Amino acid sequence: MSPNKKNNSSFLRSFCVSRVEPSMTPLSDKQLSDLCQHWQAPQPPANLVAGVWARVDAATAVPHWFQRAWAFRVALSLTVLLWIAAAFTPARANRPAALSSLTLAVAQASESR
Amino acid sequence: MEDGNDPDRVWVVRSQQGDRAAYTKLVERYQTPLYQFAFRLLNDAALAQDVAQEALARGWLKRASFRWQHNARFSTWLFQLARNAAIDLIRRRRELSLDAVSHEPISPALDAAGVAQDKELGARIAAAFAALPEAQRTATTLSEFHGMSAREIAVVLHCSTRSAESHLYRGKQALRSALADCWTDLHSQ
Repeated sequence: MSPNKKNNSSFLRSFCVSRVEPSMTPLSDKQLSDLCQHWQAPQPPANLVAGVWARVDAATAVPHWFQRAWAFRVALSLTVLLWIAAAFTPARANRPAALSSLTLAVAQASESR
Repeated sequence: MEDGNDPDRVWVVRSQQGDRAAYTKLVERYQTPLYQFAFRLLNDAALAQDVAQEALARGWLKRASFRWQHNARFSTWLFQLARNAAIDLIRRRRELSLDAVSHEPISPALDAAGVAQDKELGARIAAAFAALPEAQRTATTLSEFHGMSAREIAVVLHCSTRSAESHLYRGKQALRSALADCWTDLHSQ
């Protein structure tokens, strides 16, 4: 190998070592952890706790329209009462349910002729 | 961590019995780590506040469902709620994706607070984290800034420990390469 070539290769090696290798070498765990400490997050705002309870109360509260709408509550109560009354009223024994069917009524009428 | 060693156990039990004052103690204890975790995930102070409040509110509303099973800690469960809240928030804001959050990490709020000692370096680190996929970013954030083990990260990510280890390994590998220049610059100054 000529002296010139040898000089060139040593120059290139030193250039690579000093300029390229440090930036290409991945960090160690310790270096990464140390570096991460330079990324600081802010402190939370002072009203964060109050905001949490405001969200909880909003999620669990009865809807506003339900509290104020007296007409809605009266209607709901009446509906429930009517439903209970209908459920507990005894059925009339002498009226067969099939008579309510128009088809059957017509069929019976034609038979009786 | 064994369930009996959870430092929050007394407060959690009282919270589960409906004691708001006990839960307020837990909120005060975890508001900062949850807020900072959300900030590092989203790179936005307002969104971080939203996520931290939502996670802590869900913690109260769902407190009955928390059980000390499989070495679970209450704090880990809160981080899981925070991560879910962050994902829900991003889904609601369809123009954003958690895998493509802003690479402009230093918000005006952060500057005003004067928290970042080195804005340039902090911005580069934040950008390196922001470039990671969501699971890797969550895993590395929990490991580097909250000292969580792979098992605890697995609880937050809702995956196996092996899978959490994989996310952590890949995330750290990517950060080591991305931040090598930062390290060089920091020590050449």
